[in-house]
Amino acid sequence: MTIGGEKDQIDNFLEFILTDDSPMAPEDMVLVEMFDRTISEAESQLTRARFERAKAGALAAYSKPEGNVVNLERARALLQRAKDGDTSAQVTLAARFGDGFMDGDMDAIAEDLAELLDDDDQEN
Amino acid sequence: MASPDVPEELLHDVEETVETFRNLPERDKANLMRAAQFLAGRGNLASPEELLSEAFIRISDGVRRWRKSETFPFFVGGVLKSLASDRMFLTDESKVKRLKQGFDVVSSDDEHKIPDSEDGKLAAKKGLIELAIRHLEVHYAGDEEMELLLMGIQDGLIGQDLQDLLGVDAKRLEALRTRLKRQIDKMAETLKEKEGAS
Repeated sequence: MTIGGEKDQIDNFLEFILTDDSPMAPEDMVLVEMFDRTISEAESQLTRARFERAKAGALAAYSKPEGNVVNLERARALLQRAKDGDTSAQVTLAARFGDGFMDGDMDAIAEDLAELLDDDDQEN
Repeated sequence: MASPDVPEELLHDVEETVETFRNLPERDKANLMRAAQFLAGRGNLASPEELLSEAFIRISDGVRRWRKSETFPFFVGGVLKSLASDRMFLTDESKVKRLKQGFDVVSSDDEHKIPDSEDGKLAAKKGLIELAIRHLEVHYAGDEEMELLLMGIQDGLIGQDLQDLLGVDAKRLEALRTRLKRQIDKMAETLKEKEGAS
Protein backbone atom coordinates (compact mmCIF):
# COMPACT_ATOMS: atom_id res chain seq x y z
CA MET A 1 0.00 0.00 0.00
CA THR A 2 1.18 3.50 -0.79
CA ILE A 3 1.41 6.30 1.73
CA GLY A 4 1.36 9.82 0.30
CA GLY A 5 2.21 9.17 -3.34
CA GLU A 6 4.75 6.91 -5.01
CA LYS A 7 5.89 4.15 -2.70
CA ASP A 8 9.39 4.55 -1.36
CA GLN A 9 11.68 3.36 1.45
CA ILE A 10 9.92 5.62 3.93
CA ASP A 11 6.51 4.20 3.02
CA ASN A 12 7.87 0.71 3.56
CA PHE A 13 9.22 1.77 6.92
CA LEU A 14 5.94 3.40 7.93
CA GLU A 15 4.13 0.29 6.74
CA PHE A 16 6.34 -1.79 9.03
CA ILE A 17 5.33 0.42 11.95
CA LEU A 18 1.64 0.80 11.09
CA THR A 19 0.92 -2.88 10.39
CA ASP A 20 2.36 -4.04 13.70
CA ASP A 21 -0.27 -6.30 15.25
CA SER A 22 1.80 -7.87 17.99
CA PRO A 23 0.35 -7.93 21.53
CA MET A 24 0.55 -4.57 23.31
CA ALA A 25 3.79 -4.19 25.28
CA PRO A 26 4.44 -1.72 28.12
CA GLU A 27 6.28 0.62 25.71
CA ASP A 28 3.20 0.58 23.47
CA MET A 29 1.01 1.70 26.36
CA VAL A 30 3.34 4.67 26.89
CA LEU A 31 2.65 5.62 23.26
CA VAL A 32 -1.12 5.21 23.73
CA GLU A 33 -1.00 7.63 26.68
CA MET A 34 1.04 10.08 24.60
CA PHE A 35 -1.47 9.73 21.74
CA ASP A 36 -4.49 10.36 24.00
CA ARG A 37 -2.85 13.37 25.67
CA THR A 38 -1.88 14.88 22.30
CA ILE A 39 -5.34 14.45 20.77
CA SER A 40 -7.02 15.81 23.91
CA GLU A 41 -4.82 18.94 23.74
CA ALA A 42 -5.47 19.28 20.00
CA GLU A 43 -9.24 19.08 20.66
CA SER A 44 -8.95 21.93 23.20
CA GLN A 45 -6.89 23.92 20.72
CA LEU A 46 -9.56 23.39 18.03
CA THR A 47 -12.38 24.38 20.38
CA ARG A 48 -10.51 27.55 21.41
CA ALA A 49 -9.77 28.44 17.77
CA ARG A 50 -13.41 27.93 16.76
CA PHE A 51 -14.62 30.02 19.71
CA GLU A 52 -12.19 32.81 18.81
CA ARG A 53 -13.36 32.72 15.19
CA ALA A 54 -17.00 32.85 16.24
CA LYS A 55 -16.28 35.71 18.65
CA ALA A 56 -14.39 37.66 16.00
CA GLY A 57 -17.27 37.14 13.57
CA ALA A 58 -19.85 38.34 16.10
CA LEU A 59 -17.80 41.42 16.99
CA ALA A 60 -17.31 42.30 13.34
CA ALA A 61 -21.06 42.07 12.75
CA TYR A 62 -21.88 44.43 15.63
CA SER A 63 -19.11 47.00 15.32
CA LYS A 64 -19.35 50.03 13.01
CA PRO A 65 -15.75 50.97 12.50
CA GLU A 66 -15.27 54.49 11.11
CA GLY A 67 -18.81 54.21 9.80
CA ASN A 68 -20.45 57.05 11.69
CA VAL A 69 -18.29 59.82 10.33
CA VAL A 70 -18.64 58.73 6.74
CA ASN A 71 -22.38 58.14 7.10
CA LEU A 72 -22.93 61.51 8.72
CA GLU A 73 -21.00 63.25 5.98
CA ARG A 74 -23.09 61.43 3.42
CA ALA A 75 -26.28 62.32 5.33
CA ARG A 76 -25.26 65.96 5.50
CA ALA A 77 -24.69 66.04 1.72
CA LEU A 78 -27.92 64.16 1.10
CA LEU A 79 -29.95 66.56 3.24
CA GLN A 80 -28.39 69.55 1.53
CA ARG A 81 -29.30 68.12 -1.89
CA ALA A 82 -32.86 67.44 -0.72
CA LYS A 83 -33.17 70.98 0.59
CA ASP A 84 -31.87 72.22 -2.76
CA GLY A 85 -34.77 70.42 -4.44
CA ASP A 86 -32.97 67.30 -5.70
CA THR A 87 -35.83 64.81 -6.12
CA SER A 88 -33.69 61.70 -6.00
CA ALA A 89 -32.24 62.82 -2.65
CA GLN A 90 -35.74 63.41 -1.33
CA VAL A 91 -36.79 59.93 -2.45
CA THR A 92 -33.74 58.43 -0.73
CA LEU A 93 -34.57 60.22 2.49
CA ALA A 94 -38.19 59.16 2.17
CA ALA A 95 -37.11 55.56 1.82
CA ARG A 96 -34.86 55.91 4.86
CA PHE A 97 -37.26 57.73 7.14
CA GLY A 98 -40.59 56.29 5.99
CA ASP A 99 -43.20 56.61 3.32
CA GLY A 100 -44.88 59.57 4.97
CA PHE A 101 -42.06 61.87 3.98
CA MET A 102 -43.35 65.34 3.17
CA ASP A 103 -41.94 68.81 3.07
CA GLY A 104 -43.09 69.33 6.62
CA ASP A 105 -41.00 66.40 7.83
CA MET A 106 -37.84 67.88 6.38
CA ASP A 107 -37.35 70.14 9.39
CA ALA A 108 -37.70 67.24 11.79
CA ILE A 109 -35.14 65.23 9.82
CA ALA A 110 -32.84 68.26 9.70
CA GLU A 111 -33.11 68.59 13.48
CA ASP A 112 -32.29 64.91 14.02
CA LEU A 113 -29.33 65.15 11.67
CA ALA A 114 -28.11 68.35 13.30
CA GLU A 115 -28.17 66.63 16.67
CA LEU A 116 -26.22 63.72 15.29
CA LEU A 117 -23.72 66.02 13.63
CA ASP A 118 -23.27 67.96 16.87
CA ASP A 119 -22.62 64.72 18.77
CA ASP A 120 -20.17 63.69 16.12
CA ASP A 121 -18.36 67.03 16.23
CA GLN A 122 -18.09 66.87 20.00
CA GLU A 123 -16.66 63.35 19.87
CA ASN A 124 -14.03 64.38 17.35
CA MET B 1 -6.70 21.02 -0.78
CA ALA B 2 -4.96 17.75 -0.12
CA SER B 3 -7.48 15.71 -2.08
CA PRO B 4 -7.61 17.54 -5.39
CA ASP B 5 -9.86 16.08 -8.06
CA VAL B 6 -11.15 13.29 -5.82
CA PRO B 7 -14.95 13.02 -6.11
CA GLU B 8 -16.76 13.49 -2.81
CA GLU B 9 -18.31 10.02 -3.01
CA LEU B 10 -14.84 8.46 -2.81
CA LEU B 11 -14.10 10.22 0.49
CA HIS B 12 -15.29 9.56 4.04
CA ASP B 13 -17.05 12.58 5.49
CA VAL B 14 -15.10 14.71 7.95
CA GLU B 15 -17.25 13.93 10.99
CA GLU B 16 -16.91 10.19 10.44
CA THR B 17 -13.15 10.61 10.00
CA VAL B 18 -12.78 12.52 13.27
CA GLU B 19 -14.89 9.92 15.13
CA THR B 20 -12.65 7.17 13.77
CA PHE B 21 -9.60 9.13 14.95
CA ARG B 22 -11.06 9.50 18.46
CA ASN B 23 -12.06 5.85 18.77
CA LEU B 24 -9.00 4.10 17.37
CA PRO B 25 -8.00 0.77 18.92
CA GLU B 26 -4.99 1.05 21.24
CA ARG B 27 -2.84 -0.93 18.82
CA ASP B 28 -3.41 1.67 16.08
CA LYS B 29 -2.87 4.56 18.50
CA ALA B 30 0.50 3.11 19.53
CA ASN B 31 1.49 2.46 15.90
CA LEU B 32 0.58 5.99 14.78
CA MET B 33 2.39 7.56 17.70
CA ARG B 34 5.43 5.45 16.85
CA ALA B 35 5.18 6.54 13.20
CA ALA B 36 5.24 10.15 14.42
CA GLN B 37 8.25 9.31 16.62
CA PHE B 38 10.03 7.87 13.60
CA LEU B 39 9.25 10.85 11.36
CA ALA B 40 10.26 13.36 14.01
CA GLY B 41 13.13 11.34 15.37
CA ARG B 42 16.11 13.08 13.86
CA GLY B 43 16.00 16.19 15.99
CA ASN B 44 15.62 18.58 13.08
CA LEU B 45 11.87 18.33 12.62
CA ALA B 46 8.78 18.93 14.71
CA SER B 47 8.16 16.86 17.83
CA PRO B 48 6.04 13.70 17.46
CA GLU B 49 3.26 15.36 19.45
CA GLU B 50 3.29 18.44 17.17
CA LEU B 51 3.05 16.23 14.09
CA LEU B 52 0.13 14.22 15.44
CA SER B 53 -1.64 17.30 16.79
CA GLU B 54 -1.37 19.14 13.48
CA ALA B 55 -2.54 16.04 11.59
CA PHE B 56 -5.63 15.87 13.84
CA ILE B 57 -6.35 19.59 13.40
CA ARG B 58 -6.02 19.48 9.60
CA ILE B 59 -8.19 16.39 9.42
CA SER B 60 -10.81 17.94 11.75
CA ASP B 61 -10.88 21.09 9.63
CA GLY B 62 -11.40 18.97 6.50
CA VAL B 63 -8.10 20.11 4.98
CA ARG B 64 -6.97 16.50 4.68
CA ARG B 65 -9.62 13.95 3.66
CA TRP B 66 -9.73 10.19 4.15
CA ARG B 67 -10.21 8.25 0.92
CA LYS B 68 -12.43 5.21 1.12
CA SER B 69 -9.75 3.21 -0.68
CA GLU B 70 -7.22 3.48 2.16
CA THR B 71 -7.09 2.21 5.73
CA PHE B 72 -7.28 4.82 8.46
CA PRO B 73 -3.76 4.23 9.86
CA PHE B 74 -2.27 4.56 6.36
CA PHE B 75 -4.27 7.74 5.76
CA VAL B 76 -3.00 9.37 8.96
CA GLY B 77 0.47 7.98 8.26
CA GLY B 78 0.43 9.83 4.93
CA VAL B 79 -0.61 13.08 6.61
CA LEU B 80 2.16 12.68 9.20
CA LYS B 81 4.69 12.00 6.47
CA SER B 82 3.82 15.11 4.49
CA LEU B 83 3.80 17.26 7.64
CA ALA B 84 7.18 15.93 8.71
CA SER B 85 9.00 17.94 6.07
CA ASP B 86 6.67 20.91 5.94
CA ARG B 87 8.74 24.07 6.33
CA MET B 88 6.25 25.35 8.89
CA PHE B 89 7.36 22.60 11.19
CA LEU B 90 11.06 23.24 11.03
CA THR B 91 12.69 25.23 13.78
CA ASP B 92 14.71 28.30 12.78
CA GLU B 93 17.91 26.53 13.70
CA SER B 94 17.13 23.55 11.52
CA LYS B 95 16.08 25.83 8.65
CA VAL B 96 19.59 27.27 8.70
CA LYS B 97 21.08 23.79 8.75
CA ARG B 98 18.88 22.75 5.84
CA LEU B 99 19.95 25.77 3.81
CA LYS B 100 23.59 24.98 4.42
CA GLN B 101 23.01 21.41 3.31
CA GLY B 102 21.28 22.60 0.17
CA PHE B 103 17.88 21.09 0.92
CA ASP B 104 14.82 22.72 -0.54
CA VAL B 105 11.80 21.92 1.55
CA VAL B 106 8.34 22.10 0.04
CA SER B 107 5.17 22.74 1.99
CA SER B 108 2.76 19.84 2.21
CA ASP B 109 0.03 22.12 0.91
CA ASP B 110 2.04 22.70 -2.27
CA GLU B 111 2.70 19.04 -2.78
CA HIS B 112 -0.20 18.28 -5.09
CA LYS B 113 0.85 21.05 -7.45
CA ILE B 114 4.16 19.41 -8.23
CA PRO B 115 4.23 16.85 -11.02
CA ASP B 116 5.99 13.62 -10.01
CA SER B 117 8.09 13.49 -13.17
CA GLU B 118 10.11 16.66 -12.63
CA ASP B 119 10.34 16.42 -8.95
CA GLY B 120 13.70 17.41 -7.61
CA LYS B 121 11.97 19.14 -4.73
CA LEU B 122 10.11 16.08 -3.60
CA ALA B 123 13.32 14.10 -3.73
CA ALA B 124 14.88 16.67 -1.39
CA LYS B 125 11.83 16.49 0.81
CA LYS B 126 12.15 12.74 1.05
CA GLY B 127 15.78 13.32 1.93
CA LEU B 128 14.68 14.99 5.14
CA ILE B 129 12.80 11.96 6.36
CA GLU B 130 15.35 9.50 5.07
CA LEU B 131 17.73 10.97 7.62
CA ALA B 132 15.73 9.03 10.19
CA ILE B 133 16.48 5.78 8.37
CA ARG B 134 20.15 6.74 8.00
CA HIS B 135 20.26 7.39 11.72
CA LEU B 136 19.03 3.85 12.41
CA GLU B 137 21.52 2.39 9.93
CA VAL B 138 24.39 4.16 11.66
CA HIS B 139 23.08 3.05 15.05
CA TYR B 140 23.00 -0.60 13.95
CA ALA B 141 26.22 -0.55 11.89
CA GLY B 142 28.05 -3.83 12.47
CA ASP B 143 24.94 -5.62 13.78
CA GLU B 144 24.28 -7.84 10.78
CA GLU B 145 20.78 -8.99 11.74
CA MET B 146 19.55 -5.47 12.40
CA GLU B 147 21.21 -4.15 9.23
CA LEU B 148 19.46 -6.83 7.19
CA LEU B 149 16.17 -6.12 8.95
CA LEU B 150 16.46 -2.43 8.05
CA MET B 151 17.25 -3.25 4.43
CA GLY B 152 14.41 -5.76 4.22
CA ILE B 153 11.88 -3.33 5.64
CA GLN B 154 12.97 -0.60 3.24
CA ASP B 155 12.50 -3.02 0.37
CA GLY B 156 8.99 -3.77 1.56
CA LEU B 157 9.62 -7.33 2.69
CA ILE B 158 7.34 -8.82 5.33
CA GLY B 159 6.74 -12.12 7.12
CA GLN B 160 8.38 -15.17 5.60
CA ASP B 161 10.37 -13.14 3.06
CA LEU B 162 11.91 -11.15 5.89
CA GLN B 163 12.66 -14.34 7.83
CA ASP B 164 14.36 -15.84 4.77
CA LEU B 165 16.49 -12.75 4.24
CA LEU B 166 17.68 -12.76 7.83
CA GLY B 167 17.79 -16.53 8.14
CA VAL B 168 15.80 -16.50 11.38
CA ASP B 169 12.55 -18.03 12.65
CA ALA B 170 9.36 -16.10 13.37
CA LYS B 171 10.13 -15.76 17.09
CA ARG B 172 13.59 -14.32 16.45
CA LEU B 173 12.19 -11.95 13.83
CA GLU B 174 9.62 -10.69 16.34
CA ALA B 175 12.39 -10.07 18.89
CA LEU B 176 14.38 -8.08 16.31
CA ARG B 177 11.31 -6.08 15.33
CA THR B 178 10.75 -5.22 18.98
CA ARG B 179 14.36 -4.04 19.29
CA LEU B 180 13.87 -1.79 16.29
CA LYS B 181 10.59 -0.34 17.61
CA ARG B 182 12.23 0.45 20.97
CA GLN B 183 15.09 2.20 19.17
CA ILE B 184 12.59 4.32 17.18
CA ASP B 185 10.92 5.32 20.46
CA LYS B 186 14.34 6.12 21.92
CA MET B 187 15.20 8.42 18.99
CA ALA B 188 12.43 10.79 20.02
CA GLU B 189 13.31 10.52 23.71
CA THR B 190 16.92 11.45 22.94
CA LEU B 191 15.64 14.47 21.05
CA LYS B 192 13.60 15.61 24.05
CA GLU B 193 16.57 15.25 26.36
CA LYS B 194 18.70 17.33 23.99
CA GLU B 195 16.03 20.03 23.82
CA GLY B 196 15.77 20.03 27.60
CA ALA B 197 19.54 20.42 27.95
CA SER B 198 19.88 23.28 25.49
